[in-house]
Amino acid sequence: METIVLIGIGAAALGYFAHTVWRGLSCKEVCNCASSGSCSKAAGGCHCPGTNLLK
Amino acid sequence: MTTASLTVALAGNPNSGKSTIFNNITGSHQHVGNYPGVTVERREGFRRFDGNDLLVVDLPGTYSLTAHSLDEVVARNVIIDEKPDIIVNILDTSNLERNLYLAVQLLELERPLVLALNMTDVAEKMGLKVDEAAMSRKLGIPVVRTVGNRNRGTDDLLRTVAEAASAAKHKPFTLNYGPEIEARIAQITQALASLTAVKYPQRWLALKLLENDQDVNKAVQILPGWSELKAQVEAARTQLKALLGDDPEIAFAEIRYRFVGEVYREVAVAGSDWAQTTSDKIDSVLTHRLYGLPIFFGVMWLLFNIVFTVGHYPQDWLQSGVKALSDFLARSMADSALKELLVDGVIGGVGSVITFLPNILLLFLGIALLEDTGYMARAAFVMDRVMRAVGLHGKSFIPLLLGFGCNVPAIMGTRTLENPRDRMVTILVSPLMSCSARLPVYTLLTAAFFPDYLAGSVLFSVYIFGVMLAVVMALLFRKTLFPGASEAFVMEMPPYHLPTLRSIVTQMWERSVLYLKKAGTLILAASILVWFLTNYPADVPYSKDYDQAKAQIEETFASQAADQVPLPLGIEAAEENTALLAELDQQRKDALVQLDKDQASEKLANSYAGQFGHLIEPTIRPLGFDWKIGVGLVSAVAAKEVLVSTLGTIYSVGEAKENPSSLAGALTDDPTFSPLVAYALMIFTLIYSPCLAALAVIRRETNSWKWTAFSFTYSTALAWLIAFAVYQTGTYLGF
Repeated sequence: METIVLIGIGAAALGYFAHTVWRGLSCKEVCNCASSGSCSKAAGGCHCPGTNLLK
Repeated sequence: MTTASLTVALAGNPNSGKSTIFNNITGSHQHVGNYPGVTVERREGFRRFDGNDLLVVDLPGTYSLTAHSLDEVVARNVIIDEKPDIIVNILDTSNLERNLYLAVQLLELERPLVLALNMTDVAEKMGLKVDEAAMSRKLGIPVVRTVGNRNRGTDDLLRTVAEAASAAKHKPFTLNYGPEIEARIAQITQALASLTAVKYPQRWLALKLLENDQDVNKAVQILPGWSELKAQVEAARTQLKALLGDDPEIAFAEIRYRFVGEVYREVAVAGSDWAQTTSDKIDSVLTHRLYGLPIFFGVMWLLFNIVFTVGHYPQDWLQSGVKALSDFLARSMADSALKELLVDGVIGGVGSVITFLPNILLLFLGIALLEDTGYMARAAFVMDRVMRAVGLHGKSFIPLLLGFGCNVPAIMGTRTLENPRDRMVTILVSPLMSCSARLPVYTLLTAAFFPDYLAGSVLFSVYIFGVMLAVVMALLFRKTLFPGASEAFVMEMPPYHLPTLRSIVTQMWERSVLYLKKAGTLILAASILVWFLTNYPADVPYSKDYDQAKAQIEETFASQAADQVPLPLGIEAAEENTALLAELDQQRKDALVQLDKDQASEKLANSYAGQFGHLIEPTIRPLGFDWKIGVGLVSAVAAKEVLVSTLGTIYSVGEAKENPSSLAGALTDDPTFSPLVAYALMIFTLIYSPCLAALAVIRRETNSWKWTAFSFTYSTALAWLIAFAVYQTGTYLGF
């Protein structure tokens, strides 16, 4: 039983970590609501423009 | 945009208080600061007021509808292309004349408009009184007084917005440009009338075409009949240039400014003396050409000393709390892998990061005070000379200052820079500013290896080293990768004002939530993974039979206690006998603890993390780092605090269970570490790869994997070189 719990915790941690890394690398985390003061959640979502702005 | 009954856009000059009013209306907690360029993108929030569902859009500040920088483009696109139902133009009343220029441009756009005279309290302190009724009559639109940072006038503003939106027809505003220009406007307007699918007001479009507005030109190029129209516009521009003796856009701006001046004189009563204000007096000291820079460094030194010395007390309390929780779990749970995961992995990792919350909060308190008082703008001003020497200007320093909080908004803040070369250079050097995530690393190492009286200065030195390195790298990039002339720096100095308690407390609260959220998600996941990697494989080959060695110790003790102690020494007194037994027992315990430590250390070294660490150790050995630091540094690419949680987990796993010590204590006991290694590690952490979130933002802002990879590579190589220089020089000098 303990082994199953440990596997579950490890898999959840790995999944979350991998998900975070993937979102970062694929630029899904463009708003970065969690760590930035420049963009935040409002109206139930993270609102930032999706365009690439560097000309 | 999300569907709502009314879309309200908040527009205005930079630092006019748009985000503060946005927060007042929507109850959001957007970052605000008393300097221009805090908001670089649109933000949305909802509010239900008097039966209206309002979708409120906060826009970056812009001085005019002719956009120069990327944040201004964002504002302009929303106003012109998305056509919100109503525009609220927030004006800084203390700078009314300049702010009215944008108001006139918005009026020309023929959109429903409400003016909010914000910061009326500041204006009144300056002796400036504004007759809003007269202004409303003159411009033909509603005008409301507000004081954003005191949340005054917000309901009046919303009521006026609702009334203005429900008004069936808006009184059109027409600024008379004089007969010659008006004739050309009429001619172009007539030509535009024949074109279909023109989505802009015709008079406004004619004005913009005559002004040769590049964005509008691009937008209408696709219209059928554009080539004929283009010829007419060019002919009209040539005629106007000959008639006016200047480019039409300059003449148009002059006419608008003249009108603005008229309005201002009619509605505003300025105080009799325009003598030095309090802000001017403070500025004469804080922005002094000789004292300005030392004062800035002094302020930063003071901040980091406070962060360390004051933060030390609550940090100790939190540390005691974490240790008590760890001890409680260790006592109340049966020995198992799950218990070790909770105690060593979760509490050892996450707990070690959470204890730095007070230091983080103090840092943000300091930053919030500097931002809200208006000092940040002065810091940019005094750094202008330094930045100019490296081919950038003081405006580039604002994003860099934001980097003290987090590198992500710093990189996004570069949108305020108009020149793409300046922007790229600033993006590349922004991660060299020590963000708050690095603070736990610095605080941990400083507390462990430097005396208290030096700790604040050590922290300060790392922060200032980052600033200086950013300046040097900016110079290098400007000379090699992005050569070109630098541009003039024009930045408005906002008046100083006392920050409000509400704003400071809100920022502290937001930061606490963000930090704890990060500790409970990414850092927790990383700590659990590091625990697994440091505990498995479960069966590792040991260099000796530890069970047998422990049995040997027990046997030796029993034999010493039973045979050798009473008889050969011939001790008769019972108490002396007991003391000797206790001494022998202590020796036994010490030997067992040492064996436990050796076994745990050997197990750790043979774990997956240990194997990986030993693989990379040769590359970091010249910096004085061992494999444990290597594992920490690799994992901390996810987020810099993870270095602390990883070391917390590794040292929890690698120490004897009987005698756990704090992470700082464990580091001090580790012979790998010394003050020199600790300093080299701080420098390496400062410089090497930006965290994952920062890399993602670099990728987005540059739209290039190449520059993202470059940022990662150059910073890591530079970190290695500088940490190598620090460690080897320090070793040579005998530190």
